[in-house]
Amino acid sequence: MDRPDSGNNQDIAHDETVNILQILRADIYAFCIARVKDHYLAEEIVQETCVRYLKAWQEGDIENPRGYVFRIAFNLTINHFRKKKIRAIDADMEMDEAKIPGAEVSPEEWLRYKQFRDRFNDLFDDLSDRQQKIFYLRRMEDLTTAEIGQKYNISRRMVQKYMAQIMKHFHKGLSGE
Amino acid sequence: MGMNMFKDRKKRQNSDFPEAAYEWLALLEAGDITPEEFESYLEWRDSDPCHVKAMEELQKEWREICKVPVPQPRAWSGVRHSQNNSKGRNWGFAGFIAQLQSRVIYRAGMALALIGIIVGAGLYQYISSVTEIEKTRVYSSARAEMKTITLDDGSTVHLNAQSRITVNYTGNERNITLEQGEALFEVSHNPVRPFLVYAGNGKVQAIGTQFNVKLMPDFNVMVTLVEGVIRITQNMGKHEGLARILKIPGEMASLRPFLDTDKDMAQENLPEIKITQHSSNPFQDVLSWREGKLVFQGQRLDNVLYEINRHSNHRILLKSKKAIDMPVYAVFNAGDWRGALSAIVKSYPVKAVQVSNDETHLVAEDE
Repeated sequence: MDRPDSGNNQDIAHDETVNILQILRADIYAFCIARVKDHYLAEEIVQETCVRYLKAWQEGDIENPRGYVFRIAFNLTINHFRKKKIRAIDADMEMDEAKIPGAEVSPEEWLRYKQFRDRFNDLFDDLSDRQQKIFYLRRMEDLTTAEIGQKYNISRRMVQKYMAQIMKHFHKGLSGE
Repeated sequence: MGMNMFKDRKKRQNSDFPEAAYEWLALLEAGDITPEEFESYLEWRDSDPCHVKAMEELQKEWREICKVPVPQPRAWSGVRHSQNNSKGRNWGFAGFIAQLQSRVIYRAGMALALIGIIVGAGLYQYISSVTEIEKTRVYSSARAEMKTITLDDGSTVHLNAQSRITVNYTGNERNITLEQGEALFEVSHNPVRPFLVYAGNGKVQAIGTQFNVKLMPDFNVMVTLVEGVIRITQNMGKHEGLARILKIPGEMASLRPFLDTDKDMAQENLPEIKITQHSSNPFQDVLSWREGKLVFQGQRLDNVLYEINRHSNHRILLKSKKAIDMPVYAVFNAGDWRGALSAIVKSYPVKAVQVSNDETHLVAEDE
């Protein structure tokens, strides 16, 4: 457990490690949220990742801190999925919670949402049959791209290509191009 | 892999939006991104400030997109969306069935069959004189009968005996009118489509919550919050209605009837929403009806009899004016009218006279 450094140096090294974690924190969160889709769970995994990283650091040198951190986070998300397959919690859940005190949506917000939804629906209509299905399965059934690939007998990479096309279509459509 | 995993196409659009951003977003949203992939993403993102900007813009927009429910793919629905001009198409009954099919088809096809059977059994009356996206349905429970109904959006309504609700869902609102009796609502979350319950002259609005609404025979309304937050407004015709918010579980709001606005205003019989902390455990008394218990804590005898009668096929009528105001503190089993009757006769100056197989009168003891 003891590192060869003198106490003072060890403190500095420790501070540096904490610093690395702080810099990486936002990205660790981004990685976790991409995998678990739940704000609170992602925060929890980020915390646990930092704790485990510090523990590992105390036990010996870490060559590639960034890679190591994401590996820890990855394993934690895997453990989570083993325990229970969680349902995707869409971003709107968070919006709801923020809203509960007033417990209502203003007419302006509603109108804005409605217009957005109409544009979204029009853009959705423009997608090909296969694009629509893939998009639906990813968003509403919460299948991963690999699972969708198995379903249609195409590669995960191919499904992601489709998703990228869909995202481009929406981006262009919504930004008025 | 590495930062060249997705190459920026040389032919860029007019804007300098990096084409690879879409592929990276697709990977981030794949649901199963690996640490290596994520690292190569970071490498790409941090290699150019315009990548950072592009991803921020794209992810922000994507979060907005994720708030909108994805319609069913046309290849599955058998109906071409483009032929359906209605934007609210997924909110209607057909949309519900379509959505239900697509959601459960892989996991629980049985659920659909079950719902089919329930529908076939005529659990509800379906009024067809409505448009594609706007349908009204009536659900009612008979005397001595309780029902649980799952609505199109996944919300649940538990109907107490002898109760009736009208359900009218539109694209913008979920409207329910409690026309008679009592119901417990478990509301499914939807911030842009408020769940509104009308009872008497009260309106209750909820987002993701549970509450109990009781319409008394005299049109008094009692609303009890079980969970979440609800907003209660009182309809006052052309005058601005009162509004109160309930936040603490167990809080109960009572509303008086307010039928003739102008007359009531003139007489200064102003409406009010009275809020009381009914109970720290709303399940114990207000919701006891769900467990088949009728709990009374000082209610008038006539109201108590109304409650007892709702739960049995035998009617007990109070024929004595003397006992009408007497408070009742008791717990009865729903449906056990004999037990309730004998307890009432023992405690109040009334006697029971059975006038027919299904009717008993309570008359003053000295008559």
